[in-house]
Amino acid sequence: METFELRLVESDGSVAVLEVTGYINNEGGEAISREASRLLDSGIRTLLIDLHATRIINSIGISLLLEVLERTLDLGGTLAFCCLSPSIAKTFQIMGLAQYARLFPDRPTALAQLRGSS
Amino acid sequence: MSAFVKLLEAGARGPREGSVHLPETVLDAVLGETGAVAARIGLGEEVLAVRGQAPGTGRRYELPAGRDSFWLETSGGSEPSELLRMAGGVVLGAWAVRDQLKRARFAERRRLWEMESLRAIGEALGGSLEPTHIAEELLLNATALLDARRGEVWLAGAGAPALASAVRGAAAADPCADGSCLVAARVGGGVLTAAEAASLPDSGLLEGSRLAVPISGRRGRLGVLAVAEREVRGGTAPFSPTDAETLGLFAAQAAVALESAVLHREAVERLRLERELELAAVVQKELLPSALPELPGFELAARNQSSRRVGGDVFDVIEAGDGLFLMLGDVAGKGVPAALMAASVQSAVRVLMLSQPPLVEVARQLHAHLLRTTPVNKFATVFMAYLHADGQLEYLSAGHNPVVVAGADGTTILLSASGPPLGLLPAATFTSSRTELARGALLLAYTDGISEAVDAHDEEFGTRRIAELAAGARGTAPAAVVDRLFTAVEEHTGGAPLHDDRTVLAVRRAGV
Repeated sequence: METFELRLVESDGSVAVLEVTGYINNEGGEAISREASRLLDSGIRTLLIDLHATRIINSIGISLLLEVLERTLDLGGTLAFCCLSPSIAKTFQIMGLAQYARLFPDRPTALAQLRGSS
Repeated sequence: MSAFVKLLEAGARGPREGSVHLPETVLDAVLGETGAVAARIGLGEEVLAVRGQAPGTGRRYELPAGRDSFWLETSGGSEPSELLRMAGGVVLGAWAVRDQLKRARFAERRRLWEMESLRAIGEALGGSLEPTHIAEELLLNATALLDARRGEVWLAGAGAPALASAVRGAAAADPCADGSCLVAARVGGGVLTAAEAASLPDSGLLEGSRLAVPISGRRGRLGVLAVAEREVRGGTAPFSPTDAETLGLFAAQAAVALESAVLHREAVERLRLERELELAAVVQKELLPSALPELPGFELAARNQSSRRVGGDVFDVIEAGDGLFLMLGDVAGKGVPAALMAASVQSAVRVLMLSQPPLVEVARQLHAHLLRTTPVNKFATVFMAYLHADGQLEYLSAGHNPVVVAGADGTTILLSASGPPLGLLPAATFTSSRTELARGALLLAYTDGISEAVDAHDEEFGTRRIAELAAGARGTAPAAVVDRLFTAVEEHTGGAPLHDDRTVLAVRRAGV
């Protein structure tokens, strides 16, 4: 289980949706970080990361997501997550990601709100 | 605006400009002022940023920054001004303090996360009776908390078989040769070989990139929790003894949860079997005749008592021509297997009796049926007879206990077996015999649960006592004779629990 996969499933020029499957560890976190940098460099300022197929993240993965968050905020952008498992939601809360990133229960709600405010 | 001022402003804005880190911003300012072709900045042994081809023999400068000692190396160009070096030291010092604060905050939050994970795993495991869920929760929490790249939970050891069937999708990959160990859950790839999982010592395994601990409960080893490759930023590092202790804590919690899950499943299974047995007992009771057919001039009675919930004794009385077909059988063994075979014998007899063939043909067909449908060591002793209205009795005994016929004058004869039990010897043949049930005579057929019931000295009740009881019951109704026989056997055994099923069929021909 938990083979890592990252897919850019949606991008309309203002909001990009990344779907993550599997373990967010060093390798997975760096893949997300690279893709997020590419999208930010291309001018996208709102990133939504869908974690419905992710059940596990370690502290290296979290530190990499924190860096993505910092970079996005530095550029005045928004980093959002949706579809978090309860344990990952708790982890985000403890590790400070929930403080600055936006969290949504599902993707349609996230997209509606992000597009409405972007 | 001078490079010196720009640098101070960049430092005031934050740790990075877009995706450019502050040390890189400092280097850019240096390159801009000096025209150097390459430069790098470091702290102690650590290189923080490089621009251009890293200078191997460049000039090195100190960047004063309070307690930290940053250095700058440049290649080509002019010497950086003292003001620029001072500004670089100031902003890098501030950056370093901010970075250290960030790291400290992260470390503090990570410790909080560790505690929360331990609490959460305890709660998750304690609240679950589902081994699949327990194995997955254990794996995900332990792997994440130890920053392992790979992790797995094996079911291995004495307690594993009870769990293996309960874990959904237990991996068929890499099982032990004898199937005694299986992967219950895995993340990121394998850690141990099947042989390593099966032979892990109680002290576990701590060898650089791999860490494994046994999951052991009160019933012995249940499995193994293993992780591999502890991740750090940009690489991996060896596991420490502290990591081993943390993993051991997880394993101990999981062992309690897994044992509770096994106990729960066993209790549920016992309850299910109990219900099935209850149902089987009802079905068997309904298969035996609840009321016996009547034949003028004769009285009949029968009773069956199983040593377990279901038994291997069977009897039947079926109207046949001008009289009755009598059958009493005893299937080898006890419990459910014997009950299933007894039901099979009874069903076959009822089908055969639709055409009422000669006894030898009934025996032949039943024998063939049992040979076809039961294991080689399963057989049944059967006494069967056609009782005609005029008292003529055609009988056949396939390995059954002697049937007692007690005459009105007190004499007894025994109707002995004329062939082996049915379903035992493929080449067996059977013959029937004839006798007469004279007026006032009593026929008493029974299974070995009656004749072989033992007293405290291991003495069997025996055929002799049955014959004496039959002879002494002249004029007594068959139902009362059956009662007396059961009571006598009960007294003989001192009320000890039944070791075998007991069945009696009694027929008395009315006197003159």
